[in-house]
Amino acid sequence: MSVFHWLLEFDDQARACGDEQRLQLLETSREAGSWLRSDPARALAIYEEGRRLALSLSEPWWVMYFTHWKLQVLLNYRPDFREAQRLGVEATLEARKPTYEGLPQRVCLHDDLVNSYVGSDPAGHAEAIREALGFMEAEVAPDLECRYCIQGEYADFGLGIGALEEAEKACSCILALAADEASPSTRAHHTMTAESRLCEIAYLRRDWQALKEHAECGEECHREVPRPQLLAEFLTWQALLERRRGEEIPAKRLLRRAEEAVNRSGAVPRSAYFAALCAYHLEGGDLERALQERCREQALIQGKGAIQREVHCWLERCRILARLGRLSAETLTEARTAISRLRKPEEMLAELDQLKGAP
Amino acid sequence: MSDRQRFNLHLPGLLKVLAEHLYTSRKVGIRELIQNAHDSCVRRKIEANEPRYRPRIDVGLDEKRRVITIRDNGNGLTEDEINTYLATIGRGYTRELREKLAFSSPSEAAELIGQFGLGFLSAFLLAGEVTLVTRSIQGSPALRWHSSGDEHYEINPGERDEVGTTVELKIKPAAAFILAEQTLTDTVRGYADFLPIPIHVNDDDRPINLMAPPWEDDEPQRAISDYIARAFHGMRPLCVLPLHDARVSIGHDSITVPLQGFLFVPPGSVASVREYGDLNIYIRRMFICERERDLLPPWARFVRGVVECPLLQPTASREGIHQDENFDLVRQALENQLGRGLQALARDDPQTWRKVVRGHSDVIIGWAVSDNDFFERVEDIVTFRTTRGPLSLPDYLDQSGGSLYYVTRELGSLQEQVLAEARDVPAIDASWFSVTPFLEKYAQRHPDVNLVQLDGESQQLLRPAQEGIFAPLLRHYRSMGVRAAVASFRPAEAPALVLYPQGAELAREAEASLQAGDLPSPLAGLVNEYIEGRFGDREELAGTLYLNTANLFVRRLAEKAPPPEALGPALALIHQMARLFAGRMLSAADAVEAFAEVTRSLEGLIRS
Repeated sequence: MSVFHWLLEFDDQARACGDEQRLQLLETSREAGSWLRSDPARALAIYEEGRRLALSLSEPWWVMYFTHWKLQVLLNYRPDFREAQRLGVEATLEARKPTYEGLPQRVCLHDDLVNSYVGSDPAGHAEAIREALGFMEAEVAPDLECRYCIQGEYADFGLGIGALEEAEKACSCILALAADEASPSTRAHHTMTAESRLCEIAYLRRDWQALKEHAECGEECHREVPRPQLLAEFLTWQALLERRRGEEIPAKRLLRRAEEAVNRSGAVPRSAYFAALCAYHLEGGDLERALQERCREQALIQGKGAIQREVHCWLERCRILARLGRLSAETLTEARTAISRLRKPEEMLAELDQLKGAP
Repeated sequence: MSDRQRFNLHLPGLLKVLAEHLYTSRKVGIRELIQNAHDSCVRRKIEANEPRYRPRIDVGLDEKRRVITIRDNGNGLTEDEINTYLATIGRGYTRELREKLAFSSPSEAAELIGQFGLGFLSAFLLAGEVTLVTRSIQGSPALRWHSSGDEHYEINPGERDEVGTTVELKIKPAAAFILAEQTLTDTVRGYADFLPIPIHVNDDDRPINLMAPPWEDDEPQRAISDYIARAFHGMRPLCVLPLHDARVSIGHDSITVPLQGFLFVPPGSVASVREYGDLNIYIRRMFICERERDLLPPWARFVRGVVECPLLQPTASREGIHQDENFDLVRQALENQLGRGLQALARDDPQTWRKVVRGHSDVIIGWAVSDNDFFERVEDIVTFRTTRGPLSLPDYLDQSGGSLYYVTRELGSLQEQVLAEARDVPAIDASWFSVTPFLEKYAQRHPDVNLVQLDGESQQLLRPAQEGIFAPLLRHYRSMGVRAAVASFRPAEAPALVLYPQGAELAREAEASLQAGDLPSPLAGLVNEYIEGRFGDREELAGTLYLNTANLFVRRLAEKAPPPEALGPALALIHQMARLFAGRMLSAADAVEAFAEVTRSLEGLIRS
């Protein structure tokens, strides 16, 4: 049984019995969902209220349902991987109990736990993550939407550890699955998530043509189902490409639209947005602005358990500062401390040493 | 070459779309017809100079014939008006009259409600056939108009002596619910309670509607209170804030927002998820919608109310309001008045304010966390549950000497309560999810305030002590595999405590699960990595025993060094009592084992 079918059945039963309190569970979920992208903090608070209502009604599946959505907010919209990890472990332990035998969201909760590690320190936990993903892939029925989440996880993991081919393969898999979707909005949503990752891959390979195609395709999908967070990325990548072509006016126009999209979304922009934004400023030779944006990104994610992303910010800052000839010993020490929090910091520390030695 | 063409209309299709999809509730048909009747009466009042004119609307129900009639003694319609307005979709006489009166007589213009020229269509939500019999004040003979909801209508001579209009609805099966008298009465009252024209149902002498909103009563306070009790299921609010016109600034300028109605705070609800800051909206005294949830600021979810504002723009179906610039102005006006009203309440009637805050503290604390302005307004007023009853943070800080001590489980364990009280500090119950972030925000804004989480960090209530003469006792414990340290704490009567690190319970459950092998092994790997990351030293999970150097018995043990056969049982007894007192991290088997150890120790002590 899928989550959708379970909810449908629950709704039917509650309506048939005129059970207003249980209908309130559905209403709460809908209300929180409506805030997910524009005001994640509010969504999180409402999901927590829903969880408490479910507890008071002795509806354990609903407790887990709301827990899963709390995790989604913590993982995707206002990332706090530290809290997500704690909640993910708690939920995984709870979900092992017999009460949750048929819970359709058990896989989602497992996926949330994996996600919290992928977002935190993917290379440091690579072995455990790979093993968990393999297990989940085997568990999931072929008709469930969870397949997208698992492939998405593979893609993010691949990007996190620099295994671009692995990430690309997972994205292709998402695109193939999405192509068969009957619902245009579902198709557009999943296509967009894959295209956003493919943009990152294309940029890391400096494959400008591919970047153009994926960014345009992503923007096109946004017309079907609005996702301002992702739209901002697609537009910023396109702004970068325009700037590379020397087309400053369209570049600036695209960037302005991207900024508007970011402002519309209440979510913390993903790392891809900042990657595109900094690349844009670096392309224009505006190192100071690129540095500012990295600092802004760092401030947004500081202390939230996104260790690898924090480290990436530090390295980028150090690279820019080295180019500006302003890389101080103090910054290097701070960066070193941050990098040392990774489980496998060697490669990054070596790069830092190189920057230190650079003229 | 340009070829200018005209759109074609498929009238039955358009009728179907408008009638069936424009509105979400069939009951709206009643509202629209009553409103037409009302506007017709107002029009007669304005256009015909009749000092003795008494407007009246009658709603009749004939359940057997499945017929509802709505009769007014308004202006009536001429044949020309029927063709121009009634039968022309999107064109309404009322709107044109209002535009005409806007400058010459704005107060009369404000009495008219109709806007879009669509309302009559909604009759087909309820009826398969609609018949209208009308006689115009302009002196033409009575006319009978009839339509079955297709693209044709008929006009024939009708029979009616007095001026006015009667609309007869032949109710269709899908709308049969409206034929129940109570439903019809509730519907009419719900929509038209405040309309100034009397509405009578089934020839009852008494009008069914109030005819004036309660805030216009000679005794508004009493009238509002009665109205809330009637309209909100007997509710007795904690406080009521009447609304009034307000100046709202826009850039360098300001504008007056015409605002009437009231806001109120209901008594606390059991589940705060049921609170949304719902407002009932009226425009020109006609009910538009209930449960408008965006007009109040998000932090005000504990507030409800009734708002009348002609500035708000209804949607075409008039079941909702547009979120346009006017909406923002009204929202700002409401936020200002509500903010000021609550501040005045806190200042002038602290007892009621306490009831408000206690009744809705969950919601208030929750929203304050994500709204800086609101946080500033409530940070020193909101009260928290503490081991000494509800306290505001300034009152709490007076007692605690500048630190906020909180527990994340309901009022904490007995041990945490005892420790806090012995230090003469109450503990704040932070079990509600938004309390901890609220306290964190408070501490951030007041750098002199120290924040201490008692569960998991109770050692902050202990004073460090030198091992000194206690070293042999600690060695003894360590030889038993017990992590032990010394500290000085109150109450001095307690010989020892066991404290556990934060998150220890989750880690313990995880460990048990890993040992039992009841997690799929690939996931077990991640869970294991979590515990390793959090607790590099797993022994820490067993807790640390703190011997109290202020306790006389512990001091005597250290100073007198009793023989091993007495020292061993005494120390074991202290350890087990401390474990049991901690009230955490004990499974049922652990507790049984602890009691067995207590018994063995007592026997050992008796023997020695």
